[in-house]
Parts: sequence; C-alpha cells; structure tokens
Amino acid sequence: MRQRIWKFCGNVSVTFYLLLFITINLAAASFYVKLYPQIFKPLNNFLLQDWFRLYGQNHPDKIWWLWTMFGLLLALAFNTGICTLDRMINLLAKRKKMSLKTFLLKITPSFIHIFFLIMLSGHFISMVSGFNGSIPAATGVEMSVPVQVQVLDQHCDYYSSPELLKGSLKQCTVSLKLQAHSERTLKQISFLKPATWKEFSFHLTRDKKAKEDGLKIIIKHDPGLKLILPGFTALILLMLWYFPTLNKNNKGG
Amino acid sequence: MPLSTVSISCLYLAAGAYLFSLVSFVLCKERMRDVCFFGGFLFHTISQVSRGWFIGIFTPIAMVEVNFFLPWCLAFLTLCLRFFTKEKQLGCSAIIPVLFFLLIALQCPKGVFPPSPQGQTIFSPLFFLFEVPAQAFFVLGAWFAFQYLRREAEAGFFDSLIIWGFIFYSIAQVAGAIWCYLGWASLFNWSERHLQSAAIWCFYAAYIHLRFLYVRDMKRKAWFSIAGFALLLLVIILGHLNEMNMPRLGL
Repeated sequence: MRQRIWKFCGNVSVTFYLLLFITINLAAASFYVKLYPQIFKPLNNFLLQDWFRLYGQNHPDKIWWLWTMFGLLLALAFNTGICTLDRMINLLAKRKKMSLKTFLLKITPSFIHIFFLIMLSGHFISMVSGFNGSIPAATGVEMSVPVQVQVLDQHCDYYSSPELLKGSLKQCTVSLKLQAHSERTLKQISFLKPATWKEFSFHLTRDKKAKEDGLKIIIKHDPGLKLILPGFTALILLMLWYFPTLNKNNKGG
Repeated sequence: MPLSTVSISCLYLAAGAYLFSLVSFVLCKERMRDVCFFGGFLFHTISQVSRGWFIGIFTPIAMVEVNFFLPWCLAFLTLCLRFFTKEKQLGCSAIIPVLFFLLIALQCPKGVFPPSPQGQTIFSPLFFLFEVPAQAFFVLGAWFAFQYLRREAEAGFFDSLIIWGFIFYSIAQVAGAIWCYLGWASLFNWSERHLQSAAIWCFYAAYIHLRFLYVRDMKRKAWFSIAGFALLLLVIILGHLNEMNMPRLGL
C-alpha cells in the first residue's frame, strides 16, 4: 500500500495534471490582480505574512487563488522530488549497463528537476523571509529600516533632444549615507543601478503614488535570490544540452 | 524622408509582398511565391531596423516590441524552415500565420513607447529578444501541429519547434527577472504580465512532460500545442488591448 502511494505521488501523469491546474490557477490569478490592484499591488512591497495581515485577510473571496496556488505548487514540489529520487535510484542501479554518455543523458532530466526545486524554494523563501521596505528619495529624508539610511542628495537629468523627448526624465542619481552600528558608508544609486551594503540592496524606482516625478528607494534583503537565478540558469543550460543531444540520438536511431 | 515614415512604409510594402506570396502559394507558382516572400522579408527587416531610430535617438527596445517583432520573427523562422525541411510547400505554408500577425500589427498604433529610465538596460531588449522568438516558435509549432493533424506526416517537426520555444521562453524569464530585480528590486512581480508569463511557462512545461506519458502519440501533442496557441493568442490580444491606450511617440 505504502509503495502504491509512493508510486502515485511520483507519477509523471500527476506532474502533467498539476502543471495544467497551475496554468489555470495562474491565468485566474492574472485576472484577479488586474481587477483588484488595491489588494494585490501591495503584495510586491510586503512579505507574504505582513501583506496577509494588512490586506489579504480582509478579502478571503478574492485571494482564494493564492491558497490554491500554494497548495498546487507544494504538491508539484513533492511530486517532482519523489519522481526525481525514484529515477535517480533506478538509474544508479543500472549505471554499469550503459555508457557514460547514455547515463548522463538519462540522468539530466533529474538534475533539471532538482534545479527547478531549488528555484521554487528560492521563490518561497523570497516571499516569506528577508526584508522589504521603502523610503521617499527626497534630500534630507532619514530613516532606520533596519539600517539607518539618509538621503544626502538627489539629482535628475532630463532629455534636451530630440524634440519629441524634451523634458522627459532620463536618469536620476541619489546619494545615500548608510549606517549600521558603528559602520557607515556612502553609496550612489540610479535607476537600474542599485547598491548593495551588508545583506541589503538599495534600488531607486519611481513612486507612482507621488504626484509629480516622485522617487522612492526600495531597501531589500532577499535570501531567495541566490537560489532562484543560479537555479533557473542551470536548468536552462541543462535543457540546452539535453534536448539537442536527445534529438541527435533519436535521429541516429 | 524621416525614418519613422520609412519604417511604416516598409511595413505596408512587406504586408503587400507577403499577400502576393500567399496568393502565389495558393496558385502553386513557386518562383513568384519565393520572390515575393524574400522581397517582403527585406522590406520587413528595413521596417524593423528603422523602428530603432523612430524618435530620433536609438531605442533598441522599439525594435523588439512584440506587436511588430513577432511577425518578423515568424517570417525569419519561415525562411529558416525552407532550408531545414524537405517539404518546401509545407514550410512555405507558414506565410499564413506571418500574414495573420502582420495584419494584427497593422491595426496597432505605430509609434514607439517613450523610453523609460527603468528600461535602459541590456536586459530589457534581451528579454524581448528571447520572449518574442519563443512566441514565434510556439505559433509555428501550433501551425505545423495543425498541418500534422491534417495528415501531413512530414509536419511532425512541430515538436522540436515547441521545445526550442520553451528553451527561449525560459531564457527570456531569466533576462526578465534580472531586469525586474535591477529596476524594481524583485525577481517576480505580482502583476498581470508576470502571472501570464508564468502560466504560459507552466503550460509548455506540461507539454514537455507529454513525451514521458505518450511517447509515440504525436496527435495528442499536436492538439496540446494548438491549445497552447489559443492561450498565447489570448495573452497577446490582452497585451495589445492594454497597450492601445498607452502614450506613444513618433506619430
């Protein structure tokens, strides 16, 4: 019985249907996010548990898709983990019966799945841990979030040519003084050029809530970052090797 | 003549040439079909390149804007397929989706989006440089899947197109995530656009798993890739509708 449950949990058919349900769930989510921006936009500025306390819990009828999505992703993670483990044990047992190239080709999908799991856990860690805060990027602003940040200067450049762009915002630079305990440093940030200090990153963005050319500084500590990007990159590199090699092997009979 | 006028004139000329190519394809006039297609592709390429200078300064992101870049990618892939497929007539049938998406592009506002300070990174054009060709792979994959279901066994290569589309789409997600992190401090945004991209990625991930379920059942794969096209078309149309009211420059 236990073996049958294990087999079912790691079944590829289950993977397939889970992915289909997640697709439908994400499509539904995109409509909810579009329809209720006042509820879901803040999800980008808070950790999940804080967002839920401030916004989510007041709208249970509009956030159902978030719970189903977490449930489905958790099921997918279990399914992928069990399937990968099963396959690796099987392949390692047959290792001596095949050439190294065949073995590597057969075991590559397992590694692709391992990197997928790393990426998925990175996303989860990003959502529930670390720090996510923001302050206005106006000269003189000083806040402790959780390092002490002081905005020393703000300077923006505007297009002077061509005619069509005259007066449009081109780039802004903000000088910051950062302090934590006895350590302090000076940093400059611009659009798309964040600065990092200790475990925090400081990003300059536009503040859409502000009336004019409002700017804000996002202060972030994202522990999932180190898992998501390398995980996804490794997954792609393996796919770039796996599929053409498989295709070549199939053509060669 | 300003480059914006060159770009738009060439786009209409390309559409005309592709239309002639389609007529020649239907009439089985091979030489005429090829000449018109090559001519159309030349005009189309000039139109795409000149879009980069549409507003007087070079804005690479304007060259890879989905509405106009997707038909070009489809035409480019169709051209490539002529060299890789044995059935020339089958490969040339892709002129139909090329023309379909070019006609949609002709309905869209032709100006370019004003350059945003948060778009001035190599990762923004890089994202579109992979995402749009991925969409083109998916569209052509669905087209040849349709041909396969019409008993064109030679169209079985649609599976490879979808797989390449999935790889390109995955690369686009990484480029997009880096762009998003640099500009908005997060690899993933809870926005309509990001959720739709994730939905498409999951759908084609499910498609990839079909090979482990139904090893030789190409018909099931064909139907699935057509369903993928329907999902993609919905996302593209919703994207077009969203962008209709956005401010544009140049015209």
